[in-house]
Amino acid sequence: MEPTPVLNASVNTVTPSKTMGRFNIWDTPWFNWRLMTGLGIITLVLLMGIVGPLLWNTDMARERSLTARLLPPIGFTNIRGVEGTWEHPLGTNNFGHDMLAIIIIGAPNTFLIGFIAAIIGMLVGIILGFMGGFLGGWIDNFILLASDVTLTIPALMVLIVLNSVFDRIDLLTMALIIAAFAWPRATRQIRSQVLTMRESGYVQMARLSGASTFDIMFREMLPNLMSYLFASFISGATGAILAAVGLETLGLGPQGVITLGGTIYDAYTNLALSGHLWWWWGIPTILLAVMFIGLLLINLGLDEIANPRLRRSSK
Amino acid sequence: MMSAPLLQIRNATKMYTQRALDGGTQQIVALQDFNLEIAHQPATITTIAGESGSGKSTLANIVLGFTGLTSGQIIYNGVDMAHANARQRLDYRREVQAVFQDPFGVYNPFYRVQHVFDMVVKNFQLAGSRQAARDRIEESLNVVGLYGEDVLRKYPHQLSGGQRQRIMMARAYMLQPRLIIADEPVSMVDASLRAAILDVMMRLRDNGISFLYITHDLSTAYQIGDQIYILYQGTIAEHGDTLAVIDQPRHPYVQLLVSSVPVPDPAVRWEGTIELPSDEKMRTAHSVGCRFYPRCPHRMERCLQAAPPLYPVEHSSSHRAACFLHDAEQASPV
Amino acid sequence: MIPETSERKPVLEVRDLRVYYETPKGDVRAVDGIDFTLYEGEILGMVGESGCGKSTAAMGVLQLIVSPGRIVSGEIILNGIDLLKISEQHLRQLRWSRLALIPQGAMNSLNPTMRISQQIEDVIREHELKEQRLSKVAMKARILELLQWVGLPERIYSMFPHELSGGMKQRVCIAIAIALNPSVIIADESTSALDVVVQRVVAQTMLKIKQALGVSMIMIGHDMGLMAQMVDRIVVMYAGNIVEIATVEHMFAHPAHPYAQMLIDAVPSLRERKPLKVTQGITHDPRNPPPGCIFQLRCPFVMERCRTEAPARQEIRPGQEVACHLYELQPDGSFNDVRTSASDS
Repeated sequence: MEPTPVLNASVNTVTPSKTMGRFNIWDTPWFNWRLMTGLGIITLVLLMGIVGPLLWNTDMARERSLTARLLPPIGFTNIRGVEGTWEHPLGTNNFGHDMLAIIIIGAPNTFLIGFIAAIIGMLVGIILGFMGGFLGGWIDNFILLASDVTLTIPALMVLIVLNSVFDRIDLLTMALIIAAFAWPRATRQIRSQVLTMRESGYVQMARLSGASTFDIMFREMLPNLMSYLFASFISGATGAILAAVGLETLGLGPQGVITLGGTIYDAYTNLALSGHLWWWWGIPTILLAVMFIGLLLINLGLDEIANPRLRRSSK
Repeated sequence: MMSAPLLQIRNATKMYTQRALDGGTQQIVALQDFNLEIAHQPATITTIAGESGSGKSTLANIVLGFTGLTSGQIIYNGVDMAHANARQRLDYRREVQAVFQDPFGVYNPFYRVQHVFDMVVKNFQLAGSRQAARDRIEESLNVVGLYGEDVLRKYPHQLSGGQRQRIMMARAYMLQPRLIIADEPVSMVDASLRAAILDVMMRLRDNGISFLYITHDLSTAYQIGDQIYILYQGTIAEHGDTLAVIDQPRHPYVQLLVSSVPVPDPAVRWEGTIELPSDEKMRTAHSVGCRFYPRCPHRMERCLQAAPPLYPVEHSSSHRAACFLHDAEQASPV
Repeated sequence: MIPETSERKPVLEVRDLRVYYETPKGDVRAVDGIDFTLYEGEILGMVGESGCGKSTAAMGVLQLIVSPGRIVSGEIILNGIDLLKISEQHLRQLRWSRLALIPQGAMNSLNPTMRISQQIEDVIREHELKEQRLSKVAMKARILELLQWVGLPERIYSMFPHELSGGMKQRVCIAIAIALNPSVIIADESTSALDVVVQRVVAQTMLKIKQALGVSMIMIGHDMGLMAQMVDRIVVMYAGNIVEIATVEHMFAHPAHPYAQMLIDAVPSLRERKPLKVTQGITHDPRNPPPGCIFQLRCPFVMERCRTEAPARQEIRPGQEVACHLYELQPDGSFNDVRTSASDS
């Protein structure tokens, strides 16, 4: 018998629960408040990074200024009794760098590291996950072994060592290093999805229709994984950004590149913690918190869509 | 002139190991010494009927090449498929098509229904131009009673189970196969829509395509099948002309089966009650003798010692039952 | 069969039950105003294709509808009590002790980590009345008695579900359903997944229980052959509406509603080969049922009247009620099929 969810009654009905796999953005399930809020937050932060340099002089992030040092944000007074000015609405640091300029540059950089690392990790995950899940045999065993071993390596330690080995780390190298530890998770997740889909009716049908292995993997299975991949990417990016920030805060981030974590590192190595210079480390921290909340909300929002209404396991 | 039959299955046996409840492993026999022949002409619908555990699904998987045999041969057009070259395998892939039980799972939900045809056209080079492809698809759809403009642009979930199955038949037909393996094609379709699918099968048969119809439903088999093989726990219990076997079953299991099918007539109710054996022994590689022994009302000592071969029934060479009761009827060697 | 007298006692009455499911594009009318009565000691069959609402109706009676479904209106009167008007607590008392369910896929509803005895005990403990609380000894005896009722051997008592076959699991579910001697049991596709021979055993078990315990049953299914063997009356549903209610003899001898006729025609028999009847016609969107008769888009005998006026259910002969404009009331109180009178002229 056909499955009995009542919505499956007859010929000409289109029901939201059966439209997964197509991006029907205008369908209600996608408009849940968590996803929208999360996307909103992240978009705002990214916009700040893109539009910011056009509206604000970001050179102030690098120019040392002897006069405008240690200024507090607007509305506050530092211990020397100096008030914040509109010239530097978020204050300045020890060197006279403008905080607003710093976060305008730093936020996108932090994001970028996370995104690039997540994309690389995801690409590797797709290739290895599909190969292992679909082809099976010794290829699968090898990939599983490699990913399991990588998962057990203490990433932070290795990252610290690698960082000290390389003299100058740029943004891309940093992303690659983080990706080196991000790929196993994506690989395993995608592999298990592939294992399920491999047994589905339409894959068998494709085999009978003479489709090549490549066709089956990337034309039949991959499109159905899109929404899953997107969610996986978001959670991967969150983890990567977290790793990046952690490293930056330890002073192991890319040098010469302004990042939020790096700013925090600068702050406490310059004794901002004891020097009542809360805005130096506080502002990046707040922004980081906002970014993570945004990513979390996106994750939760996607989850709400995926479970339970659209869970389409092929039984 | 004796030409090779279209499909010949010889002594097909399939065993696999399974973890037993006590932790050890045992060999399960899914199919044992199965023999079948389907002739080139005339096209026929051969039913493989059986309950769960009978081995009919295993047989479907074997014929479709989804799993291999432990021993035995599949001979298609005179070629042993185990030793076929790439060309012969490709021919087999094209000439032996399938329609499956689940009318929804076989469609990729990401694509419109058209995708199912496009894939076949592309991979088997069925048409030279786009227009030729459209025409061919339309023709195939018409054979099953559908029109392209109604269904091709739709997504699978927008069509009924009956339509989806017919589209699968159209897809199979488009490849001009010699044999279609239909594995429970109507069991997941509503009763009122089944007739359309069964009708398509008969029409395709009249068009020269043979069917291997695998089902547990004897009633539909009775309506459309020419030959029938009834499986019990991996072996053939009885086979022959459909009407003969179902009207006059000879094997005790088949007799039980036929009498248990509920008759859609309130005046005709089941006679008597039957008991099921309280223990269902799994068939292992070591079990000897007739598999139906524990449940058979006519069991004899002999049945425990060896599995009965297929004996002809009432001097008919085509209707045979695997039961020692019919050994006595073999007056002269056939 | 059922006693022909009009003194049959109704055990369950359903009046104007409506269950709608909310979807972003409108309400799906899964059950759209059905009325029927279950009499004491009878088995009432409910048939219809998937999506017609028969399972939803059963869930509605048991008050097990979950969001996004909701009961919009109706009365469900069990032994004089309207189930839609009582408290949740009262309902829980009644559930299982008066009204039990054998759900679809019941075999899979057994907890794989618990022994059979434990599962039956849990159900009894959950729904038994405080005054009638069974002692441990009495409980064990009761469970063994139940197993015997359904024809299962004693050793099932301490087994786990995975050690049992499909038919045995199904019979355990039947045992659970009768555990508290309910007056009504609703069986939803209780033999669908079973092999023919096992199905017969389970069906005969259910008949035996009905005889012995005097339970009234509603059997939901799609196998007309099985219905013929088991039920006394049949309710035919289409797209959330009841189109015909008839005794099983009338239904098979002369189905009145065109949809019922389609269903009967579609039943393949093992006795003779009939030409296959292929049905045409499209179905409607369950969010937008057409005005007038619900079956108009698929009916081979549709008339102008059907498009605007929904037919009321009429009793065209004792034991057969149908909602169809084809049957017209004559001045002498009998009913005429307009198709025959048209061909007569």
